[in-house]
Amino acid sequence: MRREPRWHVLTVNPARDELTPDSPLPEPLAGLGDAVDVQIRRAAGDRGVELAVRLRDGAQSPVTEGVRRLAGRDPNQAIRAALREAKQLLETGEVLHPDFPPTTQTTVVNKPLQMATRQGRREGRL
Amino acid sequence: MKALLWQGVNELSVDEVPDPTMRNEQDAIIRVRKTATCGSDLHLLGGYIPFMERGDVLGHEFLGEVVEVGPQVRKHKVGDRVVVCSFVSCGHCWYCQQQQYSLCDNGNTNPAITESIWGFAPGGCYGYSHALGGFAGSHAEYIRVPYADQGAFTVPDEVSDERALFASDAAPTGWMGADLGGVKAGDVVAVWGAGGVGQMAARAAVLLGAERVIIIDRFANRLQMAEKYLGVESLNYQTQDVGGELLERSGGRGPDVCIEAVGMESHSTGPQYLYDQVKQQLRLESDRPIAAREAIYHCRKGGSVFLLGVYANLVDKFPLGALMNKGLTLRGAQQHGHRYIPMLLERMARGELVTEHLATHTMPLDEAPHGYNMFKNKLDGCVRAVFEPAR
Ligand SMILES: NC(=O)c1ccc[n+]([C@@H]2O[C@H](COP(=O)([O-])OP(=O)(O)OC[C@H]3O[C@@H](n4cnc5c(N)ncnc54)[C@H](O)[C@@H]3O)[C@@H](O)[C@H]2O)c1
Ligand SMILES: [Zn+2]
Ligand SMILES: [Zn+2]
Repeated sequence: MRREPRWHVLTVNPARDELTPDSPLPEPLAGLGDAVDVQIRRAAGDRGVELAVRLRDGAQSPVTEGVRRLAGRDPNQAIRAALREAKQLLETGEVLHPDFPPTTQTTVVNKPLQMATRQGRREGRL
Repeated sequence: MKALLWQGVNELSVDEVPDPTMRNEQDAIIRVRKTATCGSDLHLLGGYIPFMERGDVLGHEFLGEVVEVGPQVRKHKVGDRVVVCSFVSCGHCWYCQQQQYSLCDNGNTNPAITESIWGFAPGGCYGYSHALGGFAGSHAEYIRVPYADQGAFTVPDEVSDERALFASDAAPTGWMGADLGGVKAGDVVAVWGAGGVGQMAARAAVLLGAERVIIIDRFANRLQMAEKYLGVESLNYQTQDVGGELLERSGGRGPDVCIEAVGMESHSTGPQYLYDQVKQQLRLESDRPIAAREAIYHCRKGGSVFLLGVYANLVDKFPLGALMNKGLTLRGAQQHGHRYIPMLLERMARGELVTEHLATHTMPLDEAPHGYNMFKNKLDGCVRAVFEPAR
């Protein structure tokens, strides 16, 4: 089965900022450049605005500069992270950062969970 | 600074860690004055929530003084005495605006972990593992509080530190159970678990107009405490017949609202305890839902059951038949504290809600491992151990 690039969608609560199909893209999404298609549409039931992002056809090939730069290995991770950050910027005005410096150390025991957590900032469902 | 660190399953230490720093413009840094143990910590300590790293700071029920605020913090200034909700919520997403603060979309920096286990991610919580954001906990000299205007509440002068501390977690959790469980004037309400959370749920039921409130546990000291400070009845499941008593005390109808404040390490006198313990140890079941099963079984037809106790994942032998055929409403949630804390502080100021009796053992932070041992094993009548990092 050929895997179609999937639309990653999330909903932004409009209370703070107005977002219309003609608005400039929030910065984290604009940063993905022309590697992605973006749709902005009104959400059902006045839930706000839906932001949908999909990898452009062919963009997975290594020549696509924007994706390689932003995504590291997996462009879907970059899309999900950019969507989350865009939503946080629009809703709260900033992107929430984890505590720093950490109180934990990288030990053999901690390593697997630390990797899962780093992944957790990008992957997952939206 | 000094902090209480999780070092492994059932292993704690007090050690030096770097001070927290401001990471966002809406952050505040709080100097912790009092920080309490909570039943939720026991699930982390025992390894039932496998997302702790060696070196993580525990603790999420706390009160302190603001020592630094970010440029976007409007409500607080340096020197304010604040109690902080244990959940991290942004105040602006759709869930926050529905007052379902613990479901905040923007409070957890690692949402993928819980999205994978549960389908969607709730908000973050201090000292509650990397699944709930990996935020450092409050058993430390200082703590970073994100979205400080949302999560930190100035304590009125009339309310002591000892009382206000529990407006952070136990009191709003209990209140939510009674409120969202739908307690109405004249109801008969049964509460499983007489820890800090169950006691606060029972008191909330009284204040919301319930006519009879019955709290269930096996520790006589906790039951006596509930009778004395909350004005409720008690039931000892080790020496009394819970089903028979509940029927008798509710005119044969069964309680209208059943609140479960026990969680996944529930204890029982019957053979099912062994069954659940073995399955949990073998990782065939992650949680032991004994009190939840009982609450569902004893609830009246058409009644409501609210789960305040924390569950991580899967349970066994869940009484779906009773739930469905009796037409019950089952709900649960992590606490939506932001919704209740201002009201609770007012009630504390008026003397309607007393909480300081929960703090049975107060000690310096250095003694926290000992405090957890007493709290976990319910030694010396410990209901909540409270640590004072400045002492
Ligand atoms: N929903 C939330 O936001 C939230 C917030 C705080 C705590 N909690 C959870 O609430 C639960 C209780 O917390 P706590 O701080 O009061 O803990 P606690 O350990 O002090 O109290 C639990 C009590 O339950 C009793 N118990 C055990 N098995 C029982 C049974 N079968 N029937 C009746 N009672 C039984 C114990 O004897 C104990 O007194 C925990 O699961 C905790 O994780 C949830
Ligand atoms: Zn708690
Ligand atoms: Zn929110």
